[in-house]
Amino acid sequence: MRFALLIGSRTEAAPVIVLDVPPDFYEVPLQTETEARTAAQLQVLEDMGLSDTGQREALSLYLEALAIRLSRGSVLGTAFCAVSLEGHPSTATLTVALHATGTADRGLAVMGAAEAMRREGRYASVGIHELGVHPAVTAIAERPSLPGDAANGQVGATLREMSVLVPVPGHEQAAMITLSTPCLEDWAVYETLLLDIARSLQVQRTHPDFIH
Amino acid sequence: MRVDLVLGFDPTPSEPQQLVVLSDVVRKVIRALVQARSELGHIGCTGSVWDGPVGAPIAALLRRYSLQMSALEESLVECLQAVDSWRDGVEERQSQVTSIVASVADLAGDPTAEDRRTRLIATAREVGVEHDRAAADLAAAFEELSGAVEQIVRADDDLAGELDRALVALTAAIDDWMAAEAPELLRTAVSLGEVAGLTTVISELVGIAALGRKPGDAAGVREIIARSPGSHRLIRALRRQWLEVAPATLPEATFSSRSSGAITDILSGRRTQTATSDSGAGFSVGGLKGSGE
Repeated sequence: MRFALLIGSRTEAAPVIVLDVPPDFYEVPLQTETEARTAAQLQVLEDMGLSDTGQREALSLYLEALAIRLSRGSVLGTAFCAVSLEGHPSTATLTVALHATGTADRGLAVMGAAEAMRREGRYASVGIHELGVHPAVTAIAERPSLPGDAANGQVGATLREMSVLVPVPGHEQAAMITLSTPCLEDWAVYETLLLDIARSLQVQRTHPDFIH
Repeated sequence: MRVDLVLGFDPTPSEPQQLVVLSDVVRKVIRALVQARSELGHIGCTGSVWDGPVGAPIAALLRRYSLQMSALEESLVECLQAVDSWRDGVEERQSQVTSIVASVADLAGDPTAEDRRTRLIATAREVGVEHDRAAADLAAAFEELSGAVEQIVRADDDLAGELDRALVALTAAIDDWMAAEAPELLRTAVSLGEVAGLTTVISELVGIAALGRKPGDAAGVREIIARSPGSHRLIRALRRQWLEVAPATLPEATFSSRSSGAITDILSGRRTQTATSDSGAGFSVGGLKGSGE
């Protein structure tokens, strides 16, 4: 699967940031056209091989609600996996945003972002790395798995997340990719996976839709 | 047998044990310099975090410092070679002299051996001349090292001052960048985390993750329920316990390096076929376009 983040308007000449994501991940359909979105949601249900009617309906409703929620805000895409890892079930989510950095100086963006994330205090660790040809910031945090307070005060499971900020070469933009998982025993695998995905970032001069 | 007592002089004065110590010390210094230089080179390499207008002056200074260290390293390597060569030569010459001394001692008291004794002493003097020449080569190597150090000390550039100014400028640039960009960056980070949490609910609906509390109780999930066209059905669905309908088998992860397909293989297109199909053909919304391969 490929995440392609469009810089600017969707035209043939618009450069696109491409990230390679393993095929284990199902992307949450976020198309603006209702028909296309519904068809994509059905495809996800098919690909997942869900047979329980109630479960299919629940997931379908939730995917639609999530699409509506994401129609505003800065997050451009989210995907999840449900796999067997060394014999046990495992799951993780991937979310992607494109963030304006206000500078084409990748070093400045990385050092500034790292310092801002350190000072913010939410992260257990923040580091600067070279991912292939990309300087990048990585930040790891743990938090309750479900966003927002529960009415009954329940805390729930812990979600560990790692965010990677990779400035896009030649553009005043950075891709921000976050991987989260409640399966803490699989953390090392997911951490490596996220760094590999971030390392795969490349800018294509032509949008994939226009490549013939 | 003492050489100076037999010959009247010592043509090859030297202490081989001290040379071993000197050689080891020089070797250690070279190793430390190489390590320091390669670490500097790693920090200041192009294509890294320093590869931009703000970081470039620092990288350039680090490279300059690295070059100075490199010159010092070369002089030290020449010194080490000179010390090792001197040590080998000393051993050989001292062995020659030992042999001469033994012969001269054997001739002691023999009035007919005066010519032979004179020739042996002359040979010992020649070995001494060779020894002095080799000592001059050794001294020259250390003179060169001294010159390299002096050159670094005398260099009219103010490396430390320039580095200090470049770091101050970098700090100011980072502060300015943070003042302008950090709030939005942190909002994006928080937003990504929230969406990740909301997406994780899918894993609970699929029956493979138990989040430990009912998703519908979380404020973030309640917000999206409120926007759903089928709110009441979604509320009911989120109250159910889905672990009982969890899939009997899940596809083996292709991205675990311990499974059959390594991540690098997957990402480079050499994908392992699994029960999971490549999903998500042709999505696009806003700026995102996802396409199955």
